[in-house]
Amino acid sequence: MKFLTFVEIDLRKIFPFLLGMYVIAIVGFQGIFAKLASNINGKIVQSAAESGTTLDEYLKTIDKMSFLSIIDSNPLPLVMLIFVGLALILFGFYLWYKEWFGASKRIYTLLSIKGSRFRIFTSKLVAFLFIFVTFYGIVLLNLFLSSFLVKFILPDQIIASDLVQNYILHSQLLPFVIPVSGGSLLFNIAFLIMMFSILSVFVLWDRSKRIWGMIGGFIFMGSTVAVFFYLNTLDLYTSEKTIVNWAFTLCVLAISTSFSHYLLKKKVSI
Amino acid sequence: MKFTRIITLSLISALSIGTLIGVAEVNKVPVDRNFEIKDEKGNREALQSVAFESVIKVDNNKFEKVILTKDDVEFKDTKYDILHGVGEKVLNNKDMYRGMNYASEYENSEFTMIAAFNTNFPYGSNEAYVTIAKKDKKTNQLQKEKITVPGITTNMLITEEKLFEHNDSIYYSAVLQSMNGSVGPILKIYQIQSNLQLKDVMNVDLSLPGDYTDVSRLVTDGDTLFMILSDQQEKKLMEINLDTNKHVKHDIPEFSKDDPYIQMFRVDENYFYMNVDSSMFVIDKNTYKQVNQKVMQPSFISKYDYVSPVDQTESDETLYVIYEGYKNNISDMYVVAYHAATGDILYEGKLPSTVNRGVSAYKFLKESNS
Amino acid sequence: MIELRNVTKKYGKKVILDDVSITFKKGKISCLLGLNGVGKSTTMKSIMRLVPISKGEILVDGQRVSEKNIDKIAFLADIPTHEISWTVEENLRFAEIYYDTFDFEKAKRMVEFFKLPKEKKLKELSKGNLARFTIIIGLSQNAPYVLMDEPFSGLDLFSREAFIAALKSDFMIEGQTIIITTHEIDEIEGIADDVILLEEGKVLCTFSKQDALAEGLTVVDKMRKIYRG
Repeated sequence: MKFLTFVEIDLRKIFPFLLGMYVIAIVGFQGIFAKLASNINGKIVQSAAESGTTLDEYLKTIDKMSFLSIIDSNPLPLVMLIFVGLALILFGFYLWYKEWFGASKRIYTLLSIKGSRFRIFTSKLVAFLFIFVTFYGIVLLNLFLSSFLVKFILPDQIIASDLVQNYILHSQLLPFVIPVSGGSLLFNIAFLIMMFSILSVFVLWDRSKRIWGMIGGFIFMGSTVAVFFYLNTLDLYTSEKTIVNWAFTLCVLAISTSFSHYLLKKKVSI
Repeated sequence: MKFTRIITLSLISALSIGTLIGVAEVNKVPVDRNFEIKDEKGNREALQSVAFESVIKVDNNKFEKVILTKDDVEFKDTKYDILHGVGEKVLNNKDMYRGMNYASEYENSEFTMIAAFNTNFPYGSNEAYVTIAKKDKKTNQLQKEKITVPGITTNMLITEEKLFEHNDSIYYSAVLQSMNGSVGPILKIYQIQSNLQLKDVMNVDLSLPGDYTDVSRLVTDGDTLFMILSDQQEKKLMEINLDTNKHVKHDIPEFSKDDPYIQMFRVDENYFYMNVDSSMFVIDKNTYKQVNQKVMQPSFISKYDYVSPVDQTESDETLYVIYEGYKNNISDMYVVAYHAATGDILYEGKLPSTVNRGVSAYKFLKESNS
Repeated sequence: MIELRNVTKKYGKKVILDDVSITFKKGKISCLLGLNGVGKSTTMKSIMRLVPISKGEILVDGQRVSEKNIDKIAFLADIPTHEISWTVEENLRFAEIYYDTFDFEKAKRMVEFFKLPKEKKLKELSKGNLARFTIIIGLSQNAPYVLMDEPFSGLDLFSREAFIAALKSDFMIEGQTIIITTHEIDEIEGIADDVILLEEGKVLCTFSKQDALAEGLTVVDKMRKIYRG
């Protein structure tokens, strides 16, 4: 019950900001998508006029449009979502630092409650995962909304069927935003836990040793990012890359979670 | 915490994860396996001697090779790596191809050899080296070496590479172009020693009098190496005799003044074949005269913003070209069969769309690909 | 009882507590006194494990203070530590979840006693009422030990009186130990059983109310005497 209460309080704190981010993600995506689809529609009408046939006749000669031909050929809507996703990572810092800073120092209460201090970490982790899982939901919602929106913009006969499902299976850009299979969902969750653990090391080290801890945290974060980028510059094929990324994620996750555990139990200070 | 809150939070999380898994895993639509070439012009029987191949994605990390003929389609399980855009051949020889997926290749009954110049040169790396890998077909033994290529400075670009065999030796050739245009294109030919070291055997100046000389891909025919040199004024067929080390620039028709860039260049027993923009030309090997009486160009050019050739082959005086046309975020692929001598279009057909199923463009099925 | 054994706390090279040993007796009200910056708050926070100590050990009822027995001690900080954007009642509801021994009925009675507007958010409360809320949360935990860090700080006269009244009321549980830090020595005259004087991170002296009375002095006079040498 205490654990769920911790989670609830964190979620209540971030909810207004989160809602704002999601509104931006939906309005921004739909706006850009509508613009792209309208541009395509304009070009189709122009091409039909140039071809000297009726629009109906012209439409019979061209292939059906899928999200691949609308979004993947101009990935601005997805880029916007990637930026929203990156901004959501900052919520991880907020979840921790809000306990130390602000009008109320809730960290006094959190650290004084009977029971393992590590559940402060796990409760914030649950909130962090919640942020991203709902973000994935928002991305999917965007795709579903777009599949309705496109019917108002492009002629029915050139819209391919099963837009969303096919896009999830075939897009080469969407996997950068959301996991598109059961396997990648698992990896994604492990990766998110690792990310949260890394930024927890930064925050807790800073809160334990202040300036030296912050420097140590920067070095830790920087080196994990550097190793990750290094591994991704290796000439590995997808199957090998999957194994290497899993190994990296699990190793860093274990190290940073253990270190966070140690700092929270032994070193953290108000 | 109130139960209503717990239930709401759990519900949102479950719905989000459920939707993700549901959409990605359960609610998958079956792959459309209906592949048929749509006749646009001429007689479909002209496609009698060709087949097409492509790769489609049928599930996460599951791919099938599509082999398409004028009457039929066949699917075979295959390996494909979307990240690198490579298929079975590379994925079955990862040790050899690692870091050089698009290397020049030479293959005979005993071994496969590939070579690729340092792809980061000169912007990301100033090391002028070529990686050469040789795999024995019987023992699977791999030799792979980074070999420094002498005579290359950091103001040069490698625009073309080729491996070829001549008199039982393997040669590596590279066309170098200086970035500021101060030195025209130079062809360097090196003999590859048994330890994969390079021995410099020939340097040929490929420049034409114009400001910038473009060099087509290199093709070999017996003891001779050919390429097309072009600038704004003219086009020349460069012939290099590998036995005598003599080289000659032959005059050939101008074809297109607007576009000096030769997109494809092939040779067979009788002809040279070249694609300039969307047009195709056949040149007689003996007279260097244009064979086709009229320009070979598909009839659908006006429908697209760009039309470019993707692959070309020939059989019994018939030339086959796969084209890709692009307009309004839609790309379509076509096959066109030309009569080599007259340039007449024998057949035009639209290849089945790969939207929502394909991961690689169509190309002609060759024995080595099947 | 709570014991500090040879406790040292350093921040970098700066020594805040220097080999301090103190015993806070059970059932007594102990006052930890000293000027600003002598280490009173650090002592409290060290007991609560809110700052890790550099050396020594801190025991509660003979056992090291840990995550398992921290609920024996209630800590009233000198700053807000609860959700100030929530109402008094909401905060009490959450306190009931946080603290296993929290007596919600007692908290409600204390809210009535102090006439605290329970529907108001903490950020809307006056400084006096916020201090009352802190006492309610602290005493409703029914912890055998209650630490109060600078409880008089910023309080007006009436709030101080209400606070002292609470310490003498039946809201206290049997045998409850109170440890108060303050630099305002006049406030403790009526409540202190024991006094510990800190100076520059060390214990300057320790005496009880009885010790002062034996000398014919009040607690405050005894302190003045010590300070003036």
